[in-house]
Amino acid sequence: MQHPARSETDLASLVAQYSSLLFRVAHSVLRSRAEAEDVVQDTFVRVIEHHHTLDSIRDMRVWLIRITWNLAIDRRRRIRPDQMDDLFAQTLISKNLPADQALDEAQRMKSVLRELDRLPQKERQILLLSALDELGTVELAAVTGRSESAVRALLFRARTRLRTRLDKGATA
Amino acid sequence: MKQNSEQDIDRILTALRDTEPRTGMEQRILATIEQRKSAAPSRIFPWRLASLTTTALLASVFALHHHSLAPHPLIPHSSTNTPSETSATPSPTHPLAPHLLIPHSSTNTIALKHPTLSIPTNHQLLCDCDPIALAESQAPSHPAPELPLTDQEKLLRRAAHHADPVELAELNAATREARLAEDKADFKNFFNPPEPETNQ
Repeated sequence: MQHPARSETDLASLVAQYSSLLFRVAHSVLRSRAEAEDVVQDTFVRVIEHHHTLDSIRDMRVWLIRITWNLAIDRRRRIRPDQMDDLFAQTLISKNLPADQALDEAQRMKSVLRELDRLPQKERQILLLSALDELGTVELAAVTGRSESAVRALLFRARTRLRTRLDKGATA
Repeated sequence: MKQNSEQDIDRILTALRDTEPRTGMEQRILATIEQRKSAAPSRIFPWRLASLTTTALLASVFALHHHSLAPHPLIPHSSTNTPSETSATPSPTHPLAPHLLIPHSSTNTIALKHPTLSIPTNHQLLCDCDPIALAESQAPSHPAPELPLTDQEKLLRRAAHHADPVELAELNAATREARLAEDKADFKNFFNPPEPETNQ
């Protein structure tokens, strides 16, 4: 049985070590800081619930990312993603732009986010997780349960598909 | 156009990568987890209490059911009273009519292995709850209700009540036969060919 004081120390160190990464993972899905923070919190609650099996987990980082991703996807089904995308797109627009240009840019950002969500699930996951610049191909393969070559292929396909769709939407 | 799309994609992905959590997220997470930890025993306790209560209830119901299935007299068994005392003086805790009490001996009563355990019998339960129900359950059975009259019996009853002399006369077999014979004779006399006249 794990000593309580040690488990508390472990949990605090886990939070200090992984909370930022997990926050970005959740935020890439939810695009809301508050919702992403709730997801990170729920992830560590899961850690407490599985405290007796933590020793058997081979890669804690991969395990936590996988839990966070699944919780974020589950939460995204329950909230209104369009509202989140509007707010997130607004944060990307420079305040110095004229109103018409700012509106046009916001529309473009929202279309990118919309097409991002329309990607196949695995392609979207690979593209978003690889964008964090903290996970290598090996870790991405472990998180998604695919081979490294499949991860590379999925990443290439996701980017190509996204670009094609955006170009088609721009010309239409 | 393609260049613009690439730039927009990179811009979105960079923004997602560079997003920082609000300050103090780690402390908030740890505080929330601490709260949940402290609240966990109070959430578990009612379940444990409920499970214990349910187990105790099921055990008592099973014991009562098992006890009621065993054959035993409807007389309270007291380990201190002798059979003669019991038959002579009914217990004050069981207000029964004297005729309902049946003298019993120690051979036909339930012998508990543990005298300290006092599981109430059906009789005791009924006495405490509803003495009228006990009296009714011990009352002698009533005879079955009468069967409904047949059609012939109904006709007889109607004839007797109306007192029609013709109908009453038909009830007598001899009179009825005589009447039928008389009717036959009249019929014959009416339809028989007339006798040939003899020449004087």
